[in-house]
Amino acid sequence: MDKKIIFSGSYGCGRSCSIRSISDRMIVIADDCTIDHHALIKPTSAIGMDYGILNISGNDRIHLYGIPGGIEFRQILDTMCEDALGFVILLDCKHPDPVADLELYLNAMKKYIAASGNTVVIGVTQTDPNTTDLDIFRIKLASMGLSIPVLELDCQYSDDIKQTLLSLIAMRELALMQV
Amino acid sequence: MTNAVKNAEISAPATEITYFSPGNYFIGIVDQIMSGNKNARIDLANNGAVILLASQNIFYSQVRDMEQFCRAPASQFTIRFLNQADITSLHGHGKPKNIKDLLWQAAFYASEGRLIESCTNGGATQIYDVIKLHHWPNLTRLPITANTMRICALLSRSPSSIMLIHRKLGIEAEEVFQIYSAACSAGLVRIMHNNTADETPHIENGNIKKVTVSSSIFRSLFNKLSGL
Repeated sequence: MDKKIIFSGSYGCGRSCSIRSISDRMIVIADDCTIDHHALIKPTSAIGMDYGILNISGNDRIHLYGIPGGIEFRQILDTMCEDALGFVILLDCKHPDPVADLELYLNAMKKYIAASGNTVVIGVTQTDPNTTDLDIFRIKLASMGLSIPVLELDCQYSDDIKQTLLSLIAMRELALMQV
Repeated sequence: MTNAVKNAEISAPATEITYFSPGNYFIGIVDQIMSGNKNARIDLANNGAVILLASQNIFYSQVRDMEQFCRAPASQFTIRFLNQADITSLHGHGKPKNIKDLLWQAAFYASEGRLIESCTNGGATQIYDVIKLHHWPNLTRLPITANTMRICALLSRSPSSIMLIHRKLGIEAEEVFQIYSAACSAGLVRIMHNNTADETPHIENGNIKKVTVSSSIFRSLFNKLSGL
């Protein structure tokens, strides 16, 4: 059986790093110079997709897709999000307005997230050592009627990504049982 | 204190519940300082200190072993209230953290599988009250158990009681008590409805729909990730 999990988020948020830290095998579809103004954020960035595989048992696999969240990739997003097991939205705290990023990505994938039973985890990266407060994201989520996990992540730390996916599974399990 | 709760409606055999009083531990000290909106340094010999700024809802940790710190009897701590000069000198003392994280840790470690008698943010613990999770804890930075995610997923999705969580998810009661104690102390739990044992619907064992993994792939994925 094959299932997929979608990682999305803005440039430099840690999609590639997250998938790499947890996959049995990873393929970067394209990695080239960052386009236009995003080069100020990160000189290189995956401009296509990241792809990783988690081999579970027998023929069971989880396909991990990292999809950029920019408007130019909307068509890819629409294609890949269908029937996803769940979603991880990564937010970079060094971006000017990560709360606005959160709303943008949630709205962009709204119908697919709803179809998954709201199986989505928010991962917050590049947290400021002096002022990190995840409450700003929780307040935004509450205003959108969502009660989903907001987790501080270091994408190079596989335990953080593991914890993220375990939360996703727990949510999906209950969504399927219609609890 | 031990209370044997005979609850033929929900489970048989009877579920033995052991409570702990927060006042006997570090969590009780934190609660008192928070309720007084004070700023203080709390020391435990040979283990370090926590600097608590209730006025800003943050804390600094200089503790070597947090588990031991939170399980030590309250009488072993020394408390010094801070003045403005003390607070100013804290800049550069490392990363301040949200006080909710401290409350979670303090209750989680003090619990050891026991249920908190009461918490400042939730009142006296009632095992039949219908509760809901206000928001998820920051699981990647807090001590958790193997089933913490499942408990949080259930409570954020569908209000339930402590005893029904134990029955529905098939999780050991002690684990549910520990997570509830932590979540309640951190102010993450909201009481939706007060129930007594008499008001709790009569539910035979066979009538409780247990939540089990709906397909083997989820169980396999869980095992794979847990083993990583």
